[in-house]
Amino acid sequence: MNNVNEDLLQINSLKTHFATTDGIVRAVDGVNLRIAASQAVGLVGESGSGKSMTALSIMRLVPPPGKILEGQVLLKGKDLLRLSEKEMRSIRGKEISMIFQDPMTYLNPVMKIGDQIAESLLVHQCDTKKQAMDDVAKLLERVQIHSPKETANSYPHQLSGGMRQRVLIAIAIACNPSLLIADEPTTALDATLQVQILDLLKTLAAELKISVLLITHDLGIVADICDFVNVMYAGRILECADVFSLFEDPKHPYTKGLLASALSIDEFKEKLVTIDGIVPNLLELPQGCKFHPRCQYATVRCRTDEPRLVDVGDGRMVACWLFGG
Amino acid sequence: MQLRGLRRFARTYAKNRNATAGLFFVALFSLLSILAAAIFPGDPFGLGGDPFIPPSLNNFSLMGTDDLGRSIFGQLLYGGRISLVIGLVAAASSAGLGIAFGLLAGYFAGFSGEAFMRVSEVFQVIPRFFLALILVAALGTSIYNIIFAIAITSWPVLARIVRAETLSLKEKEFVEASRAIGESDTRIMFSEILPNCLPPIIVNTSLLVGQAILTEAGLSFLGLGDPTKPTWGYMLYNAQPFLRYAWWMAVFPGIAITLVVLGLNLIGDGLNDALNPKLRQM
Repeated sequence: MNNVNEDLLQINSLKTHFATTDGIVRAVDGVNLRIAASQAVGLVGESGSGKSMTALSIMRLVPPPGKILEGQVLLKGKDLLRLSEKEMRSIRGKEISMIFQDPMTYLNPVMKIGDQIAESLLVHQCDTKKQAMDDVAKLLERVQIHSPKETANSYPHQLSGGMRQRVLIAIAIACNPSLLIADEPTTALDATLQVQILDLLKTLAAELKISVLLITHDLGIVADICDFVNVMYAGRILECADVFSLFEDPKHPYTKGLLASALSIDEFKEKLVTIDGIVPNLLELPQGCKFHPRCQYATVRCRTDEPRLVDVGDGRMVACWLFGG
Repeated sequence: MQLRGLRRFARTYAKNRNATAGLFFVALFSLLSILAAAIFPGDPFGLGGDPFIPPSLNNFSLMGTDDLGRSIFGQLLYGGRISLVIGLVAAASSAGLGIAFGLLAGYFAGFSGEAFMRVSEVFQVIPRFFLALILVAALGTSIYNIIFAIAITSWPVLARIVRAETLSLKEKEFVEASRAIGESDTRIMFSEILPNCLPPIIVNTSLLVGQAILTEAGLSFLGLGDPTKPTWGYMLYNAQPFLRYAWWMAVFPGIAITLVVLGLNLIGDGLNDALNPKLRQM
């Protein structure tokens, strides 16, 4: 176990539920997660597994009717869930910033790029617009945009997808945050751009000593960037391990399934391997282990009792009865 | 970049012939009002000729004279000033009120937003003209009261438009992104949401100017105008008893009101087309 003080971010039994007219959706249900300083941590899972809601819960930006019910989000030992809205605003963008999936819709269509980057600086550290605009040019160079002046003067629709994502990254690193949450940062980009953007993220994170929480369903990206991986399913973490052990030796049946279904350029598969069944409806979660209806190793116990995340050595944790629960 | 956008906007606007005509009428009357003192030196209410001179080719009685021997042309020029200023100020203040209420009601939807809307409905169900009538009758007939009466009765329309825009814009991802960089609600409302709902605001405000001029004319026509200043409505009011002897007393201010209000409406339509991204050709 890491010492509390070593972790930049520590999430303890976080629960974020949505009270809908159809019932309570347990989007995040008892998630534990830790991110050390300058570490890149992946959060993987299928759509609807609660990855994005975990991220939004860290930022305290869960949309209504969602509510963070319990748990702790400790940033440098300070519980973000106990801060006032005003204190939280000074954390967002300054200590923790976020980049999003679709760079088009996350930029204001009627504001110039330069002004949008300056916005974050003006909220947190710069007093005058002029100061901010000076920094904007530097930031745009940092994210490898070749004509920073012209770009700062353009509107989002005049930029390409890759440039827009670079702009979002520039906004995110503007105030030197200690944690960068990247929510599917490359899903909307094509493959060559993905590589460039990921390289940029890696370089920046290393240079600026920023910890990264990377949310994705793409295991390839995780292998590329992350030091540590958390596998999420139905609002819970099922397995966490450092990236090498996870890919070498996945323990949880779900992780095994995920890895088996991933495509590789090196081996030819006659037929795509899939995990049987579908992601459970969050309104009607099964009893016991949430994965048991799709699990080929499921036993009677899996149907009734839910396994806890237990330490299985080498800093790895698994929530499965096969490993003692 | 901005210049290019402006030029494209101007090109789209100019393609619309009606809108260009509207702009022409409004520009013509604005220019005439601005240059009133140069075209017609002296007091527009000054007595300078015989009563009821029909329109004739000289500056003073170009449009004839009224029952007291005052120049209709002079009154028309100076009246344009008052009518246009009332129209602009009333539209601007009701736009201000509407934007503020609409943004707040849309952004803080829920109980307080609903409360705002119920207040606006109270103003909407009262016939606008009669509320203005009562307000002016109660508060006195100065142009400030008229402006106030028009502004207080016409903001709900704009408030509802802004509210509707805000309701949809605040769910947009870029608003979420600005929350994620720690922007405050006020900042999000004014620097993220408001610029995005400007097109409908501009269009509606241009229509409001026309409506305000009409309301002022209507009030003055009923004798609730400011009697110390010539306005087009006041001229119509004066013309009432003499319609059969002196048609020019009513016709010229009537034409002026018609052209300016028509022009403003055409401008509104033109702006709507030019600013509407769905109708804009690339």
